[in-house]
Amino acid sequence: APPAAVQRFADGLETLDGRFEQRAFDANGQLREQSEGRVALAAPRQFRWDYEDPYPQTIVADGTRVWVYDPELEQASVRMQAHEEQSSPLAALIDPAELERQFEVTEEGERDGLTWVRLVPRKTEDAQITEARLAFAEGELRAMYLLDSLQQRSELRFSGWKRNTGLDAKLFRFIPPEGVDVVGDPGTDAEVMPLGDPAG
Amino acid sequence: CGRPAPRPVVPEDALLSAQQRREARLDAAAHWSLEGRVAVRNGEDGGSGQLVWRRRDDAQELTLRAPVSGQGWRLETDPGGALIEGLEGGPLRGPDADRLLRDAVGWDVPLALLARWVRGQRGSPSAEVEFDAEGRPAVLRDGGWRIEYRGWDTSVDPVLPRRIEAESGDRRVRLLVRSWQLDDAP
Repeated sequence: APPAAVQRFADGLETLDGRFEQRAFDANGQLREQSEGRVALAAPRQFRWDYEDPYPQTIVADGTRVWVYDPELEQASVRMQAHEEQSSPLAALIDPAELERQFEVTEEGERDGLTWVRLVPRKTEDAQITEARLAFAEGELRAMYLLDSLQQRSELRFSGWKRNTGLDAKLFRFIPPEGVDVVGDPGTDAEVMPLGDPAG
Repeated sequence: CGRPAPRPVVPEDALLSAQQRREARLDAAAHWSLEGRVAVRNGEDGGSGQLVWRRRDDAQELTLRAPVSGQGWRLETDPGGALIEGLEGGPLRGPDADRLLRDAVGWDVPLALLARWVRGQRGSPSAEVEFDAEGRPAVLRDGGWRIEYRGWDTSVDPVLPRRIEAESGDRRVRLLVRSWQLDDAP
């Protein structure tokens, strides 16, 4: 079973809405970018990242497709949201069984007031993330550190989580604005996994 | 789609020689790097992300990072060939960077030419250039591509493009440069 901290956080979680700050480091450990914005999730596998600063960027997973929209570049890319491909462990977190299926989960114990949990993807060959570490306090996810296969690190800090606030379903739908160029593979509806049944 | 560049007052040959001087200075500054965002289209395929492009003489490294997880790739090229890492299935090598990039990530881009265009330099000798009111390139036609310059970073010397749009048929590259570094511009 998933560690107590994960279980406590994910118990009864239907939707989640909060703020994030992200620091991205390159393979030499140099800070490449600091950004912030809003993140929202809805069971079983919808999520939305709205980067606000230093530039706007929106990522929406509607349960079928993942959209990445860059307003300044006026381009949106779309791809099928493959079952096992989660853009980050945060999305898998909303379903602990799913988390266990995708990651080897180990408790790393307490440090500076935070309970740390380490995630290593089970299917390593096609996982771009090689390791993720989650930090919990008082039953809340406070941080998520990601290491990718290029040795680049991403540190995300979360705040102001609001749980089960009945988010508007439109939040997890993306309609490309007028004049925006859409690229990528929207796939066919035949490949759609109905949202109703828990995936897998 | 761009409005015609206003007719510069300065005679054409003076503009061209200024362009040549700029290009020569940039050729001498063979160590540079840029950081920004790029959106690439290749027919229906394409993608976007944060780009860091570092060039040392004739070796270069392009790193593309997608938002959130940073999933992306790193392409390294030198006269010996090209290597791309970070993709599912592991590193890939090839003698030709353009073909490796196209086969591995679906980007169909002439990298050697693009490396010159991004600094406002003509790529091939047959390139044609239209100048803007300040005498800087507004449009280049080169190697079957049309390159538009939509903003310049005047905090560096020589000035370098801030927003570049290159198009050829159903291929397109939109680059927004956030910062330039010229290591040893003479």
